[in-house]
Amino acid sequence: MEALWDDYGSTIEFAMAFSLFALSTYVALRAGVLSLAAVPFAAVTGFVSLVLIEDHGVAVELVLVIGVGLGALSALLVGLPLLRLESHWIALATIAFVLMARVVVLNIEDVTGGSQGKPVTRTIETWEVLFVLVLAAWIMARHRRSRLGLAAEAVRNHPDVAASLGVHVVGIRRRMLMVSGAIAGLAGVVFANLVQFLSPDTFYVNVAFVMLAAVVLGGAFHWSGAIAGAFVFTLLPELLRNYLTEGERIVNGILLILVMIFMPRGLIDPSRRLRRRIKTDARAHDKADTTEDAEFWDLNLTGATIESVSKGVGDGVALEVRNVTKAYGGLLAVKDLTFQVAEGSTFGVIGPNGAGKSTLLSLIDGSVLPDEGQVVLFGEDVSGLTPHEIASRQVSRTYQTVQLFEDLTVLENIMVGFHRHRVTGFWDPVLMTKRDRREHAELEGQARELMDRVGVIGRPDQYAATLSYANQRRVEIARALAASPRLLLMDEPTAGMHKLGTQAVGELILELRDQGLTVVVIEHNLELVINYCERAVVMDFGELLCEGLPTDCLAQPNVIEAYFGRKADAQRIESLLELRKHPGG
Amino acid sequence: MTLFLQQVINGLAIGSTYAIFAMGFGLVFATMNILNVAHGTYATWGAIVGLWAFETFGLPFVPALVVGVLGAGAIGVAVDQLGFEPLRRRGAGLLGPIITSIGFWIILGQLAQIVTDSRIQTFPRDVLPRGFIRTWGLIIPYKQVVTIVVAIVLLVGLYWFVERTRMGAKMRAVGSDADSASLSGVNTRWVVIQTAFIAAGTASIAGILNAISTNNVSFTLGEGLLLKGFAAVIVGGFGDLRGAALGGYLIGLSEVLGAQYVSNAFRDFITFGLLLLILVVRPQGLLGNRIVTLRA
Repeated sequence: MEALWDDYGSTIEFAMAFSLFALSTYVALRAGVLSLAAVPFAAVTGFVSLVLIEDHGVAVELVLVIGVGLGALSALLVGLPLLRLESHWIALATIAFVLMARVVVLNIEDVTGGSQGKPVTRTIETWEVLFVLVLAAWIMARHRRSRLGLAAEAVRNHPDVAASLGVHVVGIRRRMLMVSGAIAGLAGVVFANLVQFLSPDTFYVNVAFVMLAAVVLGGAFHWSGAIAGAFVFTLLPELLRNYLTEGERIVNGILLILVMIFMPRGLIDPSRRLRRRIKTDARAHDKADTTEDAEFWDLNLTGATIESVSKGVGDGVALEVRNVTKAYGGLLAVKDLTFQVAEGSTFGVIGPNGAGKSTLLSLIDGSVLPDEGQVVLFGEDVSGLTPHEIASRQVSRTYQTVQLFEDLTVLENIMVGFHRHRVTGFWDPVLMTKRDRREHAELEGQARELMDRVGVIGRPDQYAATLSYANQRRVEIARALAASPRLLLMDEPTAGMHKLGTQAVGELILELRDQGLTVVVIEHNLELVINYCERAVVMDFGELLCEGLPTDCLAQPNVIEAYFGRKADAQRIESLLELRKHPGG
Repeated sequence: MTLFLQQVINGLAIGSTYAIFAMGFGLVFATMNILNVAHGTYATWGAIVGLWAFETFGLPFVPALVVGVLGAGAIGVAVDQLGFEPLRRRGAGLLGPIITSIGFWIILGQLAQIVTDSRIQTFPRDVLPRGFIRTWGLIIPYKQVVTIVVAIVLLVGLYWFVERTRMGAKMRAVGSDADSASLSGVNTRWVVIQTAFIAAGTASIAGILNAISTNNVSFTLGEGLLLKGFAAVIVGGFGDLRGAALGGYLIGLSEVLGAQYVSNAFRDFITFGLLLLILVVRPQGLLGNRIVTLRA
């Protein structure tokens, strides 16, 4: 054992230091920030530790604490201009920081020794390195599925969806980048102490690229992946050195290429077993929608329609769209649209493909800015607010094509919806406070209730992507409801559902309305609009064709002709209207 | 004034190698969506193979250059087909290919180190005609003239090829939507192979010209070009060959003029500061048109 430590002890110490670099990169990556900035952050604290230790004799333990603060501060400053960029542009910008850090190091010779470099006396103990690494790993492990962790996962998977649930995307990225900076700060101090000599090339692109590669090699979906990657990258060439005289690092390159081809999610992938099962279950899966649901799902259908239930409870105006216009290039997606939705009502938006319905929804939820006009929510003009600001006005939405967070389970997906209501902070999960445990247990219970309420068939701990399409839609509705909206926007909620499923969604809409929610539904499915919406607008080519009772609108000859066109559709609408007059017939 | 003009020419000469390099680098990003970290090693290997052909067989400059281009081009195609093609079939995003390219960057870098025995070699001084053009009080070495002329010919030629020829149209089609291009009868794999060859080939020309002007053939040659090429493509704009070329010249000029008029020590700082400024103020680059900021 002792002999082994003599041979590989220092390599293992370096592997631990590199693990800190990798963890730092991993933390940023979790929030979808492809950052190489761990290296310049570490450069700052590395050289500061050189000065503090050599010139002022400060104890390394204190330097570590200073390193944490300094790293986080550097990350905050670097993040200010960069975080509004898209992920791979952030990566490029952080490379620029790596390069500039080296120039600075070269040019403040008094401090850094310029191109000659300067020695550092080692004062850190092995157990201290291990302690720092365990601490960093502990924090990441505890934040795997915390409020921050779930939000970060959401931001990485679908930033726009996260924002629609009230997650401040840039805020989460800033926080994760600051955590990344803090860990990189530790890495800088530890690494400086271990190498015992700092030069401009100590913290340079090579380290940045290699650390990014190590994280992805080990697995960017679990904190242990970063550590595994760093250990493989450091130990493997060292072991090969026994047999090779040069080029031992080539093995790392080969390993990277092979892993990217055969294990694209890295060596450690918490969802691997599940994903493998999906493949084998794929065929059974396709059937789920038609048979399993109908057979095993107790639908509890009541047969209620808009006419058989009482009027909604609210009397104000939930949503007002005033003269809203939006053009993409020369194409007018929405043209001078004006309508109101009463509070506590159900409202349908119908129109053929390309009528501008989904654009309308994006204009309301803030993900698209109108060229002209205003959107007023509950009496407040919200035009120009960002999606998460609008979400904090208690607006939620679902999407035309399902947008679930694929790296989260069903329950975790729904729990992202609770984001705005949670009170636990950064330290609660780390210190395992009572508050944290209580909140987690309560919200898990609520998420299960929501699953039941919208009728999700599936296990709570199942990855969302393994559900059938209709069930994914239901999870999306549950997630939107978790944010406890006053206004719920649904984009084709029944697409891909069979008839009974559609009816269940319709009845859910009515139930929500009876609790005071306002529900706006975009639909192709006219039955849903006729049976469950109090009022509706018909759109075509971005313009309003009709506003009023769904039955009245669809009876208008100009709507039928100008827009459904074909005779068959006209007949179909007539028969639908006939049905409405004689329910049950 | 003379000094200024002299420095502008120096800047254009060094910028020429960056521009050539950046066009290939940008072409790969635009058509294949790969941020290829290994692109710099193509320049290194082009110079190594070119020098080898020059010294071992006593080839004149132009044939030696061609051998270098063929060597680097072959490496580029091999890297693409071994490393990137499997990812392309799976439809991997941006991160996977970056990591694969880091793998090749490690392998090709280490191999270059072994082959050159970690030593710095040089092309002989007479590989290009020695001497100067003297005009208007300026002194312009022939090798700068050659560099600038080769760059212009390559840049115009490549732009013409991509924008005006059938093959170029196929390349652009694959770049904007590989699946649709494939459906309309374009042999995407062949297009990708050609693009990889052209990109690596141009990188090797940049490498050889850079090696001659800096008297340096070593395993780190491509590293500097890669970083400057990065910067050039960001400054000029991804997905636009003219942007990449413009970026290359701007980086070259800012480097030389910055060193002359601001501070020699901080010349790289000015270059990368310019890069950062562009990223913050106009992240799509001077001529680019991609939307790259979030609305959140």
